[in-house]
Amino acid sequence: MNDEQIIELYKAGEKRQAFNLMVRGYSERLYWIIRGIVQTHADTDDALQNTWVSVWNALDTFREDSKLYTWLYRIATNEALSLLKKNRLRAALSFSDFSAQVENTLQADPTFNGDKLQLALQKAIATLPPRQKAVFTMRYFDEMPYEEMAEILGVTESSLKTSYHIAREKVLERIKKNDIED
Amino acid sequence: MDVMKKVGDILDEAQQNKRPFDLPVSYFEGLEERVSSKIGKQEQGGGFFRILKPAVLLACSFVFVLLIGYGVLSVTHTSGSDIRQAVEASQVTPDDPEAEVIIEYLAQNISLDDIQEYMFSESDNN
Repeated sequence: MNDEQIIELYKAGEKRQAFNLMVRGYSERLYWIIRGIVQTHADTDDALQNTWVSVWNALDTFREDSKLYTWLYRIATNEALSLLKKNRLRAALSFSDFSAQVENTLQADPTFNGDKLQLALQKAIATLPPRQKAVFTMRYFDEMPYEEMAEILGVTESSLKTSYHIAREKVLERIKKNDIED
Repeated sequence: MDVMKKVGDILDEAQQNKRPFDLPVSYFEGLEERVSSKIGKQEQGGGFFRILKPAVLLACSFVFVLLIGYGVLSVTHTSGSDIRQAVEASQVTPDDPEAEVIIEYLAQNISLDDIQEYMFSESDNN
């Protein structure tokens, strides 16, 4: 069933059925978007469930001026960013290093299968400000076109290009710094 | 890692592996039920608060604005007793009855209208 049919089903009053079809059809893609931003599986699971709860609450407000997938992507990104900000705040309040926390969690995470370089990259990504992190992961891992990113994040393409460039420089800088410290 | 490696190569090399994460086995199988149960809990427990939330937020904003306003006023507002203290600390002699009148007058919260009225009445008397 495609997006239009799901929306038609929803409009016909089959809200629950339409919603379940979305969960079945989009969860995996949303999972990877969120995981790129929050990095750990536990947080991804949390943010993904929150995303679906938000989608359920906001379904009545969905206007078809954007694609269903773009709308879902936007909600997932916002949920991931808000969880990330919460985690950063918690780390700041407990006077601990957030990127070190991410590194420890990744090292202990059985679903992380990266090598030393990948770990250094993930650690460097963890130090980026939340929005810059979203821009970097969308572009670097998903190779998403700037046009689509602009629609999801609600910013201009030129500012996204600048933001990605800055994020990339920061990541490289931190990998090199990490390399020297090791 | 080789520090001498060209900066761009680091990211190119890392990107070959794409995301270094596996998906936990059967993760999506139970997701639909978990989401449904979360929505169910929200609708049962949080329903009342969700309805009240906008009103509570509005009330909180009102109280916040009120407190800010009170804070600003208490910092910037000069009370009558402050004027009295300021005048008393100045060169005015307390024994001078006219000065006493001025002090009393300034100690009240007088408006511009009051001053104009006073000046007109004074000029009428003269």
